[in-house]
Amino acid sequence: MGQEMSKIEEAKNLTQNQILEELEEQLRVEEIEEQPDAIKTEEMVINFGPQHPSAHGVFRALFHVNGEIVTKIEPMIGYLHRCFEKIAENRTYAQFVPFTDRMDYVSSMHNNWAYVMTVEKLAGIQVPERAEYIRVIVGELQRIASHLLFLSTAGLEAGAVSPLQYYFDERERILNLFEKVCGARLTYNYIKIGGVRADLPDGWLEEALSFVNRLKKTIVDYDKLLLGNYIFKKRMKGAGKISAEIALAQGLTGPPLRSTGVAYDVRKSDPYSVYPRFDFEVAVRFQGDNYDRVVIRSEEIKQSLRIIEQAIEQIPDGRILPMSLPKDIKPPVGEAFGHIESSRGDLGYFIVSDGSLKPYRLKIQGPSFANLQGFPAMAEGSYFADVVLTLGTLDPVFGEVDR
Amino acid sequence: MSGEGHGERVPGQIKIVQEAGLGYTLTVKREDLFKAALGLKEAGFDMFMFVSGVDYPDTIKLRYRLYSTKRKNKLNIFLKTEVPKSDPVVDSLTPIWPSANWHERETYDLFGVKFRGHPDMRRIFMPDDFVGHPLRKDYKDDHMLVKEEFIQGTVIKGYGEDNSK
Repeated sequence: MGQEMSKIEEAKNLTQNQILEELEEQLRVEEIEEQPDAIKTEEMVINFGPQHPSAHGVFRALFHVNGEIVTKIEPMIGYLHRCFEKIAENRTYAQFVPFTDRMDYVSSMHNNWAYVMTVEKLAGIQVPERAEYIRVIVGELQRIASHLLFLSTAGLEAGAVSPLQYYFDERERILNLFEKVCGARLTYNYIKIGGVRADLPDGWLEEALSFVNRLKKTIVDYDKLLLGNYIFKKRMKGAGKISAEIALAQGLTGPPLRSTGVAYDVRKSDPYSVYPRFDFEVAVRFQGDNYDRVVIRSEEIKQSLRIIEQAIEQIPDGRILPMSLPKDIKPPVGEAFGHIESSRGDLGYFIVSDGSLKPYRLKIQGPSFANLQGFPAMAEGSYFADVVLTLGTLDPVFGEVDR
Repeated sequence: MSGEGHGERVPGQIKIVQEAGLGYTLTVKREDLFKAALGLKEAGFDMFMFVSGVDYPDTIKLRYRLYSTKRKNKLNIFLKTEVPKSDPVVDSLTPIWPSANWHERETYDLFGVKFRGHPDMRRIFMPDDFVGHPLRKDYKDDHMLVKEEFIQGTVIKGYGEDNSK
């Protein structure tokens, strides 16, 4: 009897111990679950665009989000594809100039210029010196206008609404200057093969110079207002960082590349037009984060102002079109490539001629296309709230991405 | 840096020549393209700017623009090759320059050139169910606004006329 009782008690103790152990285990698990590190989150896919106010155009992307962190970005483009390269094959060389306006519609002058420059290279047309100076002046004004638009929207995305009013005021002055020179405010069709479409009106250069002198003073205040803002700095610094090696591997050009410390500027590395005659520096920053990509634009505005001042000083009198410009441009058989530094980077046109009135093939190397390709490399691993800011600092224009 | 100034170390003793419109160019067979690209990368060409197709009756000629931020001279180079239309396949350069990714997708989309070894060979501009490659000269489409006589005439006739008929 006694032995049996002890056996039963043993068994009881055993089961009780087991229950205790199980309970302990359960408690242990619960304890672990209470720690915030071990919160299990599931990856979520968020669709962005194609119609989204922060997308700077028609851009669609799938963001794979884990908690607050974006783990993967799948960009999708092509929503604004208008077959410009195919259209070019069915137009004469002069007829295609207005189409280039619609490429990068925030800096149309540069697109006119790059295309026209390549055709001139192909056909061997010499551009008069005055026309080259006018191109430089309107080109740099265009760069300033584009960067002002960029700075205002970069502020707007971070919640700074008031800088927009000031930047747009200055941009309006540039658009007024453009309106006086060619009648249009956004799509100019001003630079034509051989020179420019019309000479500058009387007093235009003085007006441009007074604008330059005005912006030189006011841009300092605007820098304080936006770039010196504590919240803006906190929001932008360190986000969307990219190193020079990755930036080169991803093919970035223009301000996004120069913000990582690579001083690649077509105006210096492959000088065109009359740029070698001007004294200016290539703005370079070294952090490669969102803040540097904003600041570098402000610095480029200051350099552009320097160039315009010198150009207005040096501009000669004379013709704006060459003496003998053929009515129908018929370049000899061959291939040519011309590129300029647009507001967004290295903008190039590659044209193949078969000796007829129309290009056999025209290829556009758009800097926005190349910059947008680097967007996942920049934004993956950052906070979800920073992704739209990073996209904004690339300043893509989708007319040029999709062409 | 391999032999700067004295001709580059590329297979088959191919010389870099200077052309009027393009600058420095290097023409290779399509079998040698990947090797040549590796050699150019070693020689300091660290940026892939674009690849473009040009459609000819029998072949599609490919033009690659490469750029160097490291070199002192010959910063820009065009790498040329061609593929027959019957077998439009060429090695992808995406393993060498990751930025070639979208550019090769674009060339595939618009010209139908397939890039062997590309990580993501899909269309980029056109929808996935699109048929044909629009930048080929023989591409036909019911929706094309440009009429046949418009394409073939040397003088642009019909421009400004009613095209709806």
